[in-house]
Amino acid sequence: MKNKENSQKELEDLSPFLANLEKKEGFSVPKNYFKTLPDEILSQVQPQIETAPKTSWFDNLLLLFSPRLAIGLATIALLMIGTVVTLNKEVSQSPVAALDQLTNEAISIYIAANIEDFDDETIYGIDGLETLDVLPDDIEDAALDQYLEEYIDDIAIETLEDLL
Amino acid sequence: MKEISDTHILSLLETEAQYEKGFRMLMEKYQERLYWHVRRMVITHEDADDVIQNVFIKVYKNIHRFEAKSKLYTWLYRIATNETLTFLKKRSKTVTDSIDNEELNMENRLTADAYFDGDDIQKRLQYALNTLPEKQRLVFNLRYYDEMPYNQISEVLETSVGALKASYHHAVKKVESYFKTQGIS
Repeated sequence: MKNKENSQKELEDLSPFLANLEKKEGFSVPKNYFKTLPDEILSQVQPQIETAPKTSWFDNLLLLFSPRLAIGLATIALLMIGTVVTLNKEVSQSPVAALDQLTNEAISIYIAANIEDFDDETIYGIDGLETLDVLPDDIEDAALDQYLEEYIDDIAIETLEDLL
Repeated sequence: MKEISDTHILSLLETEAQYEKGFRMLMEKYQERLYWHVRRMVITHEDADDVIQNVFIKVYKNIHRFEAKSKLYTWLYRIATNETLTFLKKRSKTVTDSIDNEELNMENRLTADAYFDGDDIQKRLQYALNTLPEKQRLVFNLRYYDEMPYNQISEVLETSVGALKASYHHAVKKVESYFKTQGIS
């Protein structure tokens, strides 16, 4: 209050004209300017939290066809295929694995076609096989008949037909 | 409404959790005073809005540098004054230096400003003040409109009380003389 009185007195002494002039400036501000100014300032000084932009299903679909993604997926696919092929090759190269896949029929056909390659020791060395009675090549008919009479029940019909 | 104390504002501004609250209180207390201080110098609301936003952004970022050697409003007024003078310096570089052009620019600014609705006398007062050097105009505004004591003006402008009194008296005489030349006294 004292300040106001002092300044007014001073002005009256300096210029009565200005002292009597109404202290109106004619300036105004937009409505609610001072109410919103703090929010305006704070929005500029405080960091903005960025939200992840929303993408549509179409954008996601397009993403699948992007060059980078396509190259990446192709590389992975090639690696997987190569791994599978390599593993299959390794499996097929194993003799034991290969033999396991053979059928009994295939084995029989092979042995019949290559019987000369198998010596007696190889055949007789197989575990579980009992000693076989091997008929000599020059067996006489009488001996053969006797043999047949003894083992007729054990011999398969097909074998009999072959012998006869 | 009880005025918020500077001590309370500054205590809130010391903690991160209360910083925004403290800053809002500071703005509530000082924003109008500082705005009009700026507006009287730059004239248009658009320019005043730009400057005052810069002022408060600086205040927000630098309040930790405020030392209790001076009062808070003195520190704030100083920032506002410096920002205003920087703005005016920048603006003067974009217009021709001729005094006549500056008066014309002033008239155009007042006419173009949607937020000036003063009468003829108020318009002429603005023209008269526009003829004063910037620092002298600052002294006149702080004493005439804000009725600020000389010792406080001295802290804001970092000028002696004696020099300020001389500057103000001289400014009053110039403005009175302007009105006389316009046939108004």
